[in-house]
Amino acid sequence: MNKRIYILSCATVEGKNEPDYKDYIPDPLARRRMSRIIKMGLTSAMIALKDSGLESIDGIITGTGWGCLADTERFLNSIYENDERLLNPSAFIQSTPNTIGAQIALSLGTNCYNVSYVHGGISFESALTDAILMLKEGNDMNILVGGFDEMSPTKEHILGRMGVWRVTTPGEGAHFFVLGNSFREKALAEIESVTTFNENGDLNSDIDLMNILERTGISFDSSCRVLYGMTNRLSFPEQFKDYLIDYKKKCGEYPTASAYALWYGSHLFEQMGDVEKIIIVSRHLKERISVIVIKNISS
Amino acid sequence: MMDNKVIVSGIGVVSALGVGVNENLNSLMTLKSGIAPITLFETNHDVMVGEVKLDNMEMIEMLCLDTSKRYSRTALLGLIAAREAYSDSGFILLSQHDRIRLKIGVISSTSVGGMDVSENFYKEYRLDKSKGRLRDLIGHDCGSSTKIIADYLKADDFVSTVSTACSSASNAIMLGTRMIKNGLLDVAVVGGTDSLSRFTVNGFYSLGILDKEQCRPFDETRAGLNIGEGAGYLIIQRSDIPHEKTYGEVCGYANANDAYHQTASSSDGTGAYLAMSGALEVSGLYPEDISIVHAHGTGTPNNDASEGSALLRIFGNKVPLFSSTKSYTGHTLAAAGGVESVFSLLSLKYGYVWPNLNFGVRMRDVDVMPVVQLVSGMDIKYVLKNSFGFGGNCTTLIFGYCNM
Repeated sequence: MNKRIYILSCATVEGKNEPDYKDYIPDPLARRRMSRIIKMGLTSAMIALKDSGLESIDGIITGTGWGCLADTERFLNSIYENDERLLNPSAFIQSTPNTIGAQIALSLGTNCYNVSYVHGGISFESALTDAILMLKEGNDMNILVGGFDEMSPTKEHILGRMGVWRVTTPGEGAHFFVLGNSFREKALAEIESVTTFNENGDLNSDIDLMNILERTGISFDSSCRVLYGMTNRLSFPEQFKDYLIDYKKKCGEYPTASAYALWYGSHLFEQMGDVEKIIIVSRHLKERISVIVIKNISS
Repeated sequence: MMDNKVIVSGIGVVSALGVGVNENLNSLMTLKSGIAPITLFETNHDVMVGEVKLDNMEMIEMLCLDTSKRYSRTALLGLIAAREAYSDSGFILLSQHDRIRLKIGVISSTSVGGMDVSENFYKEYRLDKSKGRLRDLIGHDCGSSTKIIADYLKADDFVSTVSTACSSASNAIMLGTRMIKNGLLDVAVVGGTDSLSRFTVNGFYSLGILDKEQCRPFDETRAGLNIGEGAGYLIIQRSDIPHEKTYGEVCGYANANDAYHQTASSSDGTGAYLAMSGALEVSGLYPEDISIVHAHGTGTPNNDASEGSALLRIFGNKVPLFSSTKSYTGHTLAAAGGVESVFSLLSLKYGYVWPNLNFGVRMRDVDVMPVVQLVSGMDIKYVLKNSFGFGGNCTTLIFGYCNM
């Protein structure tokens, strides 16, 4: 049986637009201990869950390309600073990439499935793949899925030294979704497919959109829109140009920027009316290409 | 929905017990622990660790890699074990014609990624922002070692990396199994790799849970864990695809969250209990069907009490023979589920129960006692394997015998 996967709600917290965390993490002590990415991720998850109107969930699945950078650096620094003495374990504890998934489980008091993926530019796609699989395995389930990355001053500086900011601009954000396999009134869209594949070549070569669509078996017509985000130049037939949106111009470059695109795309159906399908094509620097297809459910 | 049977057709491992399945098997059978004082790098801490007795250059040569390139130790350990598993299964010899008919992926896991080399970068960078060799950062991302393995084995139809601290590799094995069951992959290379690093040695030291002696899992006097390094991979596949050998079937799996504390486990072992009962449910087995339990058993007072309590909750007064092999290898962190799943499959295939080394005194508060002598010739039908990690992450796998 081919089950349909719905996006029931979604939320975004971007670095340039952080909320007042007091409203979401009321305990001041807990809030002070948390690094910025933990606060961003946890808050985004809480908003998505609240908007879904659901009381409980059956899984928490997260993806992050860079993990908890600030805490990792803080602990590494303390090792050298104090010559391996007087180490404070809290930065070490919070440096593992599954910290945010774990903090969500702790604050909800839920024992459900909880897995984190850390695979560069397809970390969020990995989380989505797992979530979709789970929703196909079970009935009447709802899963919280998120993608997040923080841009620390050190990361920004190091990527600058590597020359990355000559071709793209820095970004960061935490985006969470509640996915379910039962239709609900508030559902925003349906996820049709998630695929990733290897792409050779450097950042200077053109990537052919038609070739990507062919490889993923997607047919394109005027009811489709393409959200794309990649450092390579995308080549496409001239008549397509009004159907394309470069989403990284809005959110900047980070490994889980495709989660931003899914959030952005989920709202486009309502805004644009006649759009049936949104195809999200992403590539973080020289990594695997991902294609996420979502469908309009209002028609 | 398809529901394919998933079998294990190849295994590979590298740990403090040796390089390759044979060396590991030999150490397990001769009760030889690999835990010894640290030699890999300078540290102020007086700690015992489970080191792999190969330096990076030796591994680069063994793997015939480009000697001018920089590789993290995590990637090298992973490559050695994954290559062994892939050769063992015979898939390494697939012709191009047969290869393109199969969907083959790599789902690996790591907690430190390339931290062993990033540390070198950061040591210089923190003092002068223009210093530090950028190529030392090539392996920093957790996904980097997985990509290297997938490229090396030409197994890149799906490639991803799990990072859930010390339960990581078991979660990778679980995802691979589910993807094959549901027809998304035909064959998967699954497991994990982690190298020793200053970061983890200092991290666990700061938590005060490192034992200065060899660790003593499930012993009343246990004082903490020893960190180890290594990698363990399984080749799992649809049972109807031709295979040369079978080590067992992946018949149960589940993940649950303890939701108690970021690093500590609940005293009643809620997460562990839910993971074990979830895996039993998936497999359709009852507790009495389980022949032996390969415990997580880190040797920390907290883990072993919690896991012991969970075993009592699942099995009542009929806890099967159980033991932890952390007193052999140390705690190989993200790789633990991979290394120890290989050991579980060796138990299943050859009828051994690996003893819990260094055991002396029975725990007072939790009434369970591990196997302390090597058991051989046992008719083992099902092995239950536990792996738990920070963030309350608890995973259980069940491997069953295959009469094929």
